[in-house]
Amino acid sequence: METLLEVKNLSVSYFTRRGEIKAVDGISFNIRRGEIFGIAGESGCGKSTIAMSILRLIRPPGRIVDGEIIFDGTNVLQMSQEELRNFRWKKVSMVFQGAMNSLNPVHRIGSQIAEAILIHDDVSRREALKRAEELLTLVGIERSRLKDYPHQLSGGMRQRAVIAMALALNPKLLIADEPTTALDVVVQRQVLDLLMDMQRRFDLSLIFISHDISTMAGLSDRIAIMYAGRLMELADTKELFSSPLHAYTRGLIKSLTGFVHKGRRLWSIPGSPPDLDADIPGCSFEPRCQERSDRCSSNTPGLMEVEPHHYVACNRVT
Amino acid sequence: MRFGKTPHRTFLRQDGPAVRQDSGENLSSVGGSRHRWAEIAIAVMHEKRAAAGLAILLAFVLMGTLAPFISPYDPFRLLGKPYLQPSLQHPLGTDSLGRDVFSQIIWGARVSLFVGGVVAISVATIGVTVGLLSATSHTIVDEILMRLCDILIIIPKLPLTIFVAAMLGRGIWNIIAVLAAFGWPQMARMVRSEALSIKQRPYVDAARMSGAGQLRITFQIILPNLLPLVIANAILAVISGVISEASLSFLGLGDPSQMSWGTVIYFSMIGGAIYNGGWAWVAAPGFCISLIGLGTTFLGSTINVISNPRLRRR
Amino acid sequence: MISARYIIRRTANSFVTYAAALALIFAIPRLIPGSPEELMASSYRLPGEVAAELRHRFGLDQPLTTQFVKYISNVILKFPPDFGISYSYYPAPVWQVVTTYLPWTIFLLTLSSVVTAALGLLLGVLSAWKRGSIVETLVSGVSMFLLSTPYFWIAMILIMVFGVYLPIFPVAGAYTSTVIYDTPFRLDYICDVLAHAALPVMSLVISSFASYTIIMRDNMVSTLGEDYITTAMAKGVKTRSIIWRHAARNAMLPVVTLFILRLGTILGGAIVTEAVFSYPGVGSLLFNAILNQDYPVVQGFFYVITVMVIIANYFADLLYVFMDPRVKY
Repeated sequence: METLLEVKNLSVSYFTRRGEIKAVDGISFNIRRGEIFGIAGESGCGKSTIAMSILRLIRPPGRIVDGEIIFDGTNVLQMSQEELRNFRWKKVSMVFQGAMNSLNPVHRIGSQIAEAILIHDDVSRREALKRAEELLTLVGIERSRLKDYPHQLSGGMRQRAVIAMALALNPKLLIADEPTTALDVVVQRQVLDLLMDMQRRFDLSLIFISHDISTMAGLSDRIAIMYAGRLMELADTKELFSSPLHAYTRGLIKSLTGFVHKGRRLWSIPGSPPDLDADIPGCSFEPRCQERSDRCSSNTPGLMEVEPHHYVACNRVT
Repeated sequence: MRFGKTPHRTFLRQDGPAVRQDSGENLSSVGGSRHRWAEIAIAVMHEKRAAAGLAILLAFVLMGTLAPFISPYDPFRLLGKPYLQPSLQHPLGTDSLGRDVFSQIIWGARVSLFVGGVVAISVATIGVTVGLLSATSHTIVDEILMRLCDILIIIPKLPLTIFVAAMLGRGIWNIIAVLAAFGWPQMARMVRSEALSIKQRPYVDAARMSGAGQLRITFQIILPNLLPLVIANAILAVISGVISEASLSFLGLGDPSQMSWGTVIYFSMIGGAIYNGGWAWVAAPGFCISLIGLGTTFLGSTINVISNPRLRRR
Repeated sequence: MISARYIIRRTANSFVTYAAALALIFAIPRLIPGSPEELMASSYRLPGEVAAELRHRFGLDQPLTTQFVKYISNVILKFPPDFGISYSYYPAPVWQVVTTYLPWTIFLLTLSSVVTAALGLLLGVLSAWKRGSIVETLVSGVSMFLLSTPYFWIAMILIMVFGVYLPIFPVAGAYTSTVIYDTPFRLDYICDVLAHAALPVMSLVISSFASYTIIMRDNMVSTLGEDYITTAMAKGVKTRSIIWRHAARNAMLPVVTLFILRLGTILGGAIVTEAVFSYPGVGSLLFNAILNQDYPVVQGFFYVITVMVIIANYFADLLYVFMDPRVKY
């Protein structure tokens, strides 16, 4: 399949008073046309930072320190401000974490969707509003809601509106960053179904970011597992679940399959992720890994293709 | 909706459920309140601004306290030539009567800060009393007290102060009395709303269930938790006292036997400093007031932010 | 949006405050030690029978309750409200005296409030956007310093600078009194008035924009961190539009309330500033009335400005509800 987006050796750091925090540390992956690509990992592992980097939305004190992001042959990181504005939303759009806050509370839903259209297409405001209306119907919101303010909609409806806004310009790639957190379970399902439906209908590439690999399992074509700013494993979904190679991946799968008792998982990976402000020699998962060897504390494993289309970064495997 | 609620809207957005949750934890334990005090004090001093503010204030307090010893001349003594430019002998020159301006500024710190301090303490005392009374008593008492606050807040304070001060006659204690009498409503309203929010917290319920009476809850739980806020705002009230006193003195309603910074500006106005090259005479007292303002703002607002988690998110 | 119930409750509330303020305005001169007529008699050294006659003419010889009833009915039931005759501008009615001076104060207040708010907001937005730069350090530093600088001191500094070293603006009065114009709608008259207003307005602006700047900066900083700002950036919205349409629009909401809350303070400042610049507004009037113990005028003054502030507060609350779609009552 044809490659749409290529992320090469991306590193993003936040420069704070405590020093440099390496949120994303040398990550590479490709997104193919029309595929659903899942990025999974615990919160704070750098998933959202990757999403923001693709649209160059990292703001100070954060900075992209190294790497290339190539979309359809153009390096996003070298675009001029003008090119960047045309690229954003038109080529790649985004559904942000948290349905509650990604709409501006003082502007009407319709005008926020129309705004996106007006920036990129040379149409009248009236026409833009008409298209906004169609988009709302498309995601299952009544036309009359066009003039509502965000707080007048339920959480699920708000997220639908955000999806409608993301589709406004027919982008090639949609990034959905934890699109269903803060929603009720039932609503979560509906929003996900809507996303999948839209993905099929518009032949979108979709990057689906979540901390929950169980949801991801049923949706994604491929899954990347992140830990502490680095990629640990990347494979087709089936392959990843049937023969996970990284101890962290196995831990994640183990913690969600098996018993869930009264909503509490009976097993979780012991320990917690490392602080990212200190340099981590060796494998970042080493302190929590139950299969570690002496090499692991000194040698940082690179991501290797150990089987066709199955990449892993682990000293034991390579 | 009464006027009283208006300022709270400022936090409408910030005051979401997520924030409210942690405010309970941060202003926690009753027994450990002394501990918490130390924590706040340390946190405050770690802020550069607060430390700078405290340094400024201490410097001026020291200046005022030691005025009799460090002032080179008697601020009221006629020394010789009027309108002298700043020199080594008279760092800020002399006034229209040939008095040393530098000595007036040093003594001015004493008078201005005394007025500011006493006003702040009175405002805090009245404010806490009324606020607590309002928060813990029946609806009618609460309603009457808050309505009184509304009116005192809505009538522009400075003209009212000017009027009453003029009627009472010159004298430093009259000025203090007037400023205290009209300065407390803001404090009372703040104390009331904070006390009401503390009353809602789980540890107050816990204390109530374990049999603590109203009095005990008010004085042993609510009051200690309120104090950082009260102290922060009392510090901020110092500058408003200093400025109000200066305004009255400037209008000729001050006590002419006490050389406050306002009196210095008043003399510079009627003494024609502007047209006789007395720039230092005009500039110095106002500059000192602004510095005091800077100090109180730095210190007071830092304490406010640190002791009030609702603000900390900013 | 605004419900009728909210408007009714808010209106009723304003009237309660109004009523209480009326009572207070009546009470204050009478609570001061020494009755008005005593003060008046002593200050003018009037012979006993003249003082008695005056007392009778101003109705001060009647019992307090009668005075109160008369005062209330004269103020509420009559238009214009009747505060009696001014002692010092005898025999002009108080209302006439106050309204002669009032336009100048309103002019000064409006001009300086608008400039203050505009400048404060602009600098606040600027320093939030340029966070961490020298611009922010400079703006915050200056604002912090000016936050508690006395109005009258700024006024004196301005007089010193513009009156002595750089004489481009007149330093006293509201217009050139030696020239008489046939109509106020002449360009040279308007320019003259604006030139006279320059220094008073400047001193009010300099000493009061800082609080707007500081609050606006804080609000902007927290607003710029919101998710919807990131969304706007991702949409490709231009920087300028992000700042104004998306961030400032939201950050400005609490400032509307501040604007009104500060009205009383800035009015106090205007009074002192008027005194410095001999500006013929109600501030100068109040000051003279106090010196002459002209109680009717003092009462008229407090009545007028209190009513102004109550009305301003009332509309600010309604405006706020109107501006922020989230607020519902």
